[in-house]
Amino acid sequence: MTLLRLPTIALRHVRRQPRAAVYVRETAHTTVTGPQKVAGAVVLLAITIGLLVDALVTLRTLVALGLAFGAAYLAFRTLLVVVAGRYRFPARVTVPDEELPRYTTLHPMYGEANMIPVVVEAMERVDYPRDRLQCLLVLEERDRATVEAARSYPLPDYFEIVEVPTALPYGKPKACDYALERATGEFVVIYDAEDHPEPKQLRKAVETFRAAELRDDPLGCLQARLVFVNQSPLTGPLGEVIRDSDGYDVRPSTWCSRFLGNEYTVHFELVLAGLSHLGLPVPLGGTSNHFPMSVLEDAAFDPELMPEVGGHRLTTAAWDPWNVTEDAELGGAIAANGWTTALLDSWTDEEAVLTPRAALNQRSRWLKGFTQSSLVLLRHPWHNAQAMGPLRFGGFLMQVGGTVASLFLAPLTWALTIAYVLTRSQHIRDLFPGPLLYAAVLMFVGGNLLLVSISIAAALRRREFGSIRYLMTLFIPWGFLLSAASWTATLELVFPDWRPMWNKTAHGVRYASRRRRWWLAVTRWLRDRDERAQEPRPQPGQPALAPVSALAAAPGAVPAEDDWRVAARERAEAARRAARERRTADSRQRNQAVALRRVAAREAYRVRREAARTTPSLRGPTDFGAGVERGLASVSG
Amino acid sequence: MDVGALLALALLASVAAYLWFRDLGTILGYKDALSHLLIGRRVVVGQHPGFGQLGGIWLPLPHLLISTLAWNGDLYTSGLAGSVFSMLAYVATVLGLYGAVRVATRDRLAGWVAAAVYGLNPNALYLQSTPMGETLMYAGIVTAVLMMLLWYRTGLHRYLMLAAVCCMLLVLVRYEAWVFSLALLLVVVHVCFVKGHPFFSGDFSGQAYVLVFTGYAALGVLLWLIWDLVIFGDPLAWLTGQYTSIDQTRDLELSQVADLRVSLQTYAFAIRDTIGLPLALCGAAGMVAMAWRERLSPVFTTFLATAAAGAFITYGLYSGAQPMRVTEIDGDLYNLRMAVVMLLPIALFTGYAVSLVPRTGRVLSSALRIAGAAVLVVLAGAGLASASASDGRSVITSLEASQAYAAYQQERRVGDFVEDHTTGRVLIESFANEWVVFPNQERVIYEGSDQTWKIALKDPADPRADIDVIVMRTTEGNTDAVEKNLNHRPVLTTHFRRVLKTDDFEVWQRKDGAP
Repeated sequence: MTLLRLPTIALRHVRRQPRAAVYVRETAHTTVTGPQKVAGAVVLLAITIGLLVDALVTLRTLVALGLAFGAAYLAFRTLLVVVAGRYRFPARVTVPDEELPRYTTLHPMYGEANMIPVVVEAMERVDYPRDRLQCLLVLEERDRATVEAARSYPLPDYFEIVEVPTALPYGKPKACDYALERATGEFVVIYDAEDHPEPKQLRKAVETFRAAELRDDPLGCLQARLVFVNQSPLTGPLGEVIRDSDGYDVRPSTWCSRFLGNEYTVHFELVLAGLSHLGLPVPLGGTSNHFPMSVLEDAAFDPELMPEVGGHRLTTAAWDPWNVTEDAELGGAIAANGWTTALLDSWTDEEAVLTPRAALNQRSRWLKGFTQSSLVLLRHPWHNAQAMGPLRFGGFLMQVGGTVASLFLAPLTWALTIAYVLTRSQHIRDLFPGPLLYAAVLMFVGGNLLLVSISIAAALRRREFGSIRYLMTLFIPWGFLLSAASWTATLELVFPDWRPMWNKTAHGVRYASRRRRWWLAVTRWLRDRDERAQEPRPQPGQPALAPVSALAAAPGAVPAEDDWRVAARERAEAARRAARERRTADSRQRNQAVALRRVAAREAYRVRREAARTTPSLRGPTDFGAGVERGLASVSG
Repeated sequence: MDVGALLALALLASVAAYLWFRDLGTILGYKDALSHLLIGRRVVVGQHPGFGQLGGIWLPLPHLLISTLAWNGDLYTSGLAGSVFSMLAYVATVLGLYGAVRVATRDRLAGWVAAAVYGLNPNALYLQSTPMGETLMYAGIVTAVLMMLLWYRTGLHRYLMLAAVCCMLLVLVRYEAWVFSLALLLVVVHVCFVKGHPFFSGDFSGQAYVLVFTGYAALGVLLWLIWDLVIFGDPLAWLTGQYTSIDQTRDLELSQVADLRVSLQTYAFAIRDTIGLPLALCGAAGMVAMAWRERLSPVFTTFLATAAAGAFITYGLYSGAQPMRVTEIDGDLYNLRMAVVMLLPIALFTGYAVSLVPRTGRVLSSALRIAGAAVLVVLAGAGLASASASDGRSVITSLEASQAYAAYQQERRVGDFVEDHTTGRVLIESFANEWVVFPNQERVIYEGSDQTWKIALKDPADPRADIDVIVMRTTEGNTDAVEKNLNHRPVLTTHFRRVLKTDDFEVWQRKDGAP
């Protein structure tokens, strides 16, 4: 056990060391810079010369390097999983309701008009004072359907719509940067459209941040655990899958969603916990990462590097608009700026994609982003290593770039193995002299066994027993899918016009298995045929069907089975509209007062942090009330 | 505290036993012990070192372990390169038995008795002093049992995974462990039924547990089949190839083959000779009592699973796959060590029997318990006492080994001759000539040398084979490949001259100046 503590002790020692350089954040606007192209060309040239001079030695050297990398990656991942068991969530302090700060939640959406009610419903369940909650629906101006749906939907008061002007580059990071300028919270969090955060999540985040302030811990981000709820279908007491009246699964699940759910378990409960425990940079997940606004401002890009949106450059750009895993890159930037990232003892329910094609798209985007982040870091490797600390730099690079590289190389090992088994080629045998062969076999068998074992252990830990049979039988196709995503991501980077930059993941998809879909189609066709046969032919000038609203309004009318949902929704909307109208102008005034107080609190926080930084003697238990007073004074001044 | 004390005692007993049997000179008595050392060393030292030397009949894990130490000549020739792992496995088995009975009965004294039944058995102490694979298997079985019990008691998944990983490794140690793993799989199913884990509905937990266990255990077997496929081109080479047990016992006249009664009798006599009748009866009584009191609970079936290896060996005797000879039936001794595996269920059930004595906390009860335990310990150690008194001859496995050792005197002399009087590569068939090969292992071209072996059998003077010495067994009716291919052929007499002839061997050396 002492041995297990060694990496932790070493890393903590490193963390205390003063940083030798200041981290300069760069965007992924240019994928590969000139010097990087030169370096790449030199490497390729060296390999070519090596192949011409002595092909066998060169290829063996490449094999050895590949195996060394594979071993290092496996060892690193295993270390993370092992030390994850020692991770403890950061302490929290109780924060009374009246001292809860203003909180901004960002909900970037594109082409998801159907998800507006889901977002509202999810935030309605959040336990946080509404007068201190600002939910920004971040919509693209060009996505008229979603904008119109949001405008027509009876949004609660604390919701605001932010229309992001049409400007390149498109995507979530730029939209979030734009929305951040309108955020008034002391803390900020991002949620995807399908997210259902645990109701207490915002409170827990505040309590954790406040405890960190009391400890003078530079906590820069809290990452809540993401859980794919559709890892397994919703079942009844007898184990039967629950379906809606149309025959679709209430909680759609496929083998893909099971693998994705399992990967999330491994990632958020083991890998990130291990990274956080070791004090290494945490590549943040796409949503549910909570930041103090000041940290985002601290880590923000130079506005000169940012695109013009709506006639001005983005001023508080925390996310790289050109990076498709902007959150992972931000995790590195936060660490490079001296802040830490911890895991929040809370979760957010998400929805996994269901089909291999959608998974391929999503994964290729993630891996593309990982590659972008790695390439940005490698523009000035020496300087960045000094700024982040060598171990942190290496750890982050291994986590983002190593993942891509390992998946990229995996098909080569499989291809070589299969080719050798089929052909018994002496050429392949020559590539693997004794020690290399043993290392390769060990890596091939032991490495895959280790990764599958981690997945199985994670599934058992989460009691996802139904996923075990998929994990044990389909891990090879899944591995191929991930490798294909890695190759796709690389091709997309090399040929940028090949595909749109942002492979949007569709949410709110209904699903039935192929067999069930076929059965549904047959039964629907039979039902329609029977209904058509029974219906009287409409008279000329008479509409074929009465509108739903008319059915609902007719006294004593019983809506058809398919229409009761519409009627219920209309009733709910009417109720919400009425409630909204009941709120008077003085509530608006109260909101304005609260907003003013929020600005003051934010300013106070900034003043206090600045004072704490410059005057070590001021550090100690935080007096928030005094801070607010000072903030108010500075605002009024 | 118990574990610490037990660890210290087990280590002490292990080292003392090793020194004792080393002085008796029986550590390398079993020919199989020699084979294990040879294979382990071939991986790291020899004319064609590498993992390709693994495979065939013997399962590879013991050899992999031995290879980590067998590069050292002293550790190899003394047998310590293999004995070290057996000794560590012995200690693990003692601790595992204590833990398993303690978990099952929550009784410290019962745990101590179970540990003593195994730990003080002279035949177990002999086997742990040798480089044989048996003790490794015992340790694996007991560890898997302990993990299974912990999983059943606590419900923590990691114990199931550890039990499964144990089985994955176990199936690469000895074939009896395959049957044990299968039996443990049935225990997993049993636990799922008892705990109400559904297999095809609900949360599918039963299915998951069975799949996880099966997946790991089967993976070991699968890897072994793939390995044999790669090395020999036949995944079933271990079953149908040359030198298998079935192949070897085919020509032996074994009384128990196809006679279930004699097979059972043979194994029963072997148990009596290696474990002792009183302890065997105690174990049987404990088993009956446990079956009755525990109502066939998973704890009972887990204990019972350890007897699967014994059942498999008995079937092996019946089917002719395993040879065993006992004096009561055959007049001599052969492979009696295969009965020692029954020490595990006997130790577990005896421990359980001790736990049945009421623990009232009163003086009489405590005295009764301690007295009973003492009697069992004396029974367990009785053989040990007599062993030390009669110069080790009552340790029947050691006796068998010493008899075998004496039988190979000629082979050892030939081996020493080759070592002392010749240089260069030696062509010899390793099978049946292990004692000749043993001191010359790094020089030997043998049946595992692939192409060089084939070339040498055609023409030992071929520069690609570069053979300097040829050793062939000339016993009438032998199957020695070197003798069959080279004896009386011009290619032998032209380039080689005979330098030694014994009743069973001829040694030929290349003539000076021959190409």
